[in-house]
Amino acid sequence: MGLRIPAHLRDLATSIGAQSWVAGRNFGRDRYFAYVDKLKLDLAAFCAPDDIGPELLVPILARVVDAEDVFIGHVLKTTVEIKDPETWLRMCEAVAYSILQRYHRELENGKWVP
Amino acid sequence: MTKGERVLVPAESLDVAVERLLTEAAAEGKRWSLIPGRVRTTVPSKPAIEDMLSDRLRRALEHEVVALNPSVGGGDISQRDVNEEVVKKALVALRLSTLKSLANERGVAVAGKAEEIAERIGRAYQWDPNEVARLILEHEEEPSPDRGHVTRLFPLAGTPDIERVYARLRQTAGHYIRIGVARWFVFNRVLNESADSVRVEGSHRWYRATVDDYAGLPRLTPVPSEDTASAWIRRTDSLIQIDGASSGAAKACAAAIQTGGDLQGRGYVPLAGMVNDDLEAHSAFMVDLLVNRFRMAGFEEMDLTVTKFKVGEEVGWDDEGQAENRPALRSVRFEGRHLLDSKVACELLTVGRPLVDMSLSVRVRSDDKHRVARFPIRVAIENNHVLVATGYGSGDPELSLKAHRAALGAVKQEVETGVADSARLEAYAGRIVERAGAESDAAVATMLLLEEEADEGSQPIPVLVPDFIVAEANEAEGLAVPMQKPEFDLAGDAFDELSSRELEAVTALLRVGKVKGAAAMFGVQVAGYRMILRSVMRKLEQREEGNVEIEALLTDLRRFDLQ
Repeated sequence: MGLRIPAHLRDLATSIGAQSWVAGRNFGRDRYFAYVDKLKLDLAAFCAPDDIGPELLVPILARVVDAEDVFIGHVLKTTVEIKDPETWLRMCEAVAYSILQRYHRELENGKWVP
Repeated sequence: MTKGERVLVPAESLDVAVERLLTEAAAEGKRWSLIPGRVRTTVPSKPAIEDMLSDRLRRALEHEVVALNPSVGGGDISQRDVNEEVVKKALVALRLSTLKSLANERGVAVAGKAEEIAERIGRAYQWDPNEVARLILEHEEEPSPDRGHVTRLFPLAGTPDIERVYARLRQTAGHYIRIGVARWFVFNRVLNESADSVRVEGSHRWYRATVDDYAGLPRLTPVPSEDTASAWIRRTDSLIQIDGASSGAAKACAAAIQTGGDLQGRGYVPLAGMVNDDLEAHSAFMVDLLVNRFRMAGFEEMDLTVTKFKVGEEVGWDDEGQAENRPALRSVRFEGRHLLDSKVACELLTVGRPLVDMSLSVRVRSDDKHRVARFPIRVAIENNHVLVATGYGSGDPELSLKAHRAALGAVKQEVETGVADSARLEAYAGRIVERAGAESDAAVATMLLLEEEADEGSQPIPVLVPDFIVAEANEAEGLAVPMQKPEFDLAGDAFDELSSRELEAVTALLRVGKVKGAAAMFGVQVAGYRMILRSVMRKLEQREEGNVEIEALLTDLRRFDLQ
């Protein structure tokens, strides 16, 4: 079964178009997917590969998204306002979940090979 | 490493790993942004989220490994850990449904066990103990003794001869009397502050006896306990009022005062009796409080949130004096909102099950009408006394005390003089029977509304859109034909998919005209209120086709800023 975006981020993910950004050309699929593979190797020092869940990967991917300053341009085109740090954090988390969702899907259907 | 295995990792190593992973992630993101073709958008006011991400990653890692924290100064737990765990401990004491509602309002995940939700809420509030304390008080549905005013009323056989009582009790000051096996009550002070009352301050002391085996020698070890109590005996009241004490201390204090002051306690709570052959005497006591006395006390927007019914007798005994071992249900407790409107609660009332404990949320205004706050109030009928407890609510201690005094006055009158308005209570008993016989729960809670409002409630509830919305809409759209004030039938079939909470939310918004004010009226935080309204709009949008009423309501809801 594919990865689901947690309920508390789902509405936000929809309103900022997180999944459509991840599906778009400006996303940088190969770089992000290769980075997820690398993170899994790094995190293997702390837990078994099967235990590396989105809770571990999302904060790190969210940091990449935050530092890259590309996704924020997409958010500014929507009507959703970045009111405070909590909102921006949740936006980055929502897009990080969307990245992992696509990663898992493509891993399952063989479109991405680590 | 196998799946599920948690390795031992020194906490310092975890900190280093978190720092490294996030620093590398930031560097990677910055590097990618420089790749030709990437469209980078620099926003100077972009909020900094590094610390929050670091916190999240550390906690996620702590969940996977066993973090070995160094003890501080040879054995102490770090103050940060203590603070965070205390915040969590306070939150998990709330009901799971309340925790989930808090999480929802704060926009954090509601899934998982109580501890997980409490952790998310604590983190969302930056582990601020004061903020969390305020939050807990605001959302407590049932007042607890350590977070509110607690008074117990022990009925007497008659009003006391206050001079005689004082003359006797003042001799007990500085003395103690035995009230049971290894139980004593110590009279610390007996005061006659006014001509009409006597105040007793004292402590209940008791011992548990444990048997230890100390180096092969059996030894009896007394374990002492102590609890204080403060009591009032008033010339005009046929009861003893005990403030702030635990059940055990209050019972001990009442017994000691009755013995010392030669007062005759009833030993039971006087009840007026059955009403209409429908309401059992305990239930009549409680329902009369709800529909008559609390209203007379000035409580508004009462919402019954917890009810406890006795449904069976105490454990039975067979002919040989052995306790029967058949399973028996002795009480049933309901939690929710507007429980007097619930079919199942009404059914229990009409089949004569005693309603012995209830908690409700009430709205109270200050005397100058400028301040309004909600408080949880609990009334419980015990064997020989009635408990009245009022929570501190949303941080207005003066109003909380006012609410407690009003509730106490109402319960005192109920104990001393019985039903306030028999005709009205009988009418409500009829409505309870009606609700018990209904096919399903009502869509909108009406039971605790005033009769005139309730009559409207049994009919469709008209909701008028405030004038200023109509005016603003006309002005904004420059309509040639001014928009008419629509009237919605929220109890109609068109709205049957909305829950009573959602209907209430829409009603509040349309009545008040501002999201913030409506959220306050509805008793939730703005974020949570917006979520409810968005859910209403989604449901309505699915049913919009061709329904004029829904279309009109949606048009008006869209005028409010629900983002």
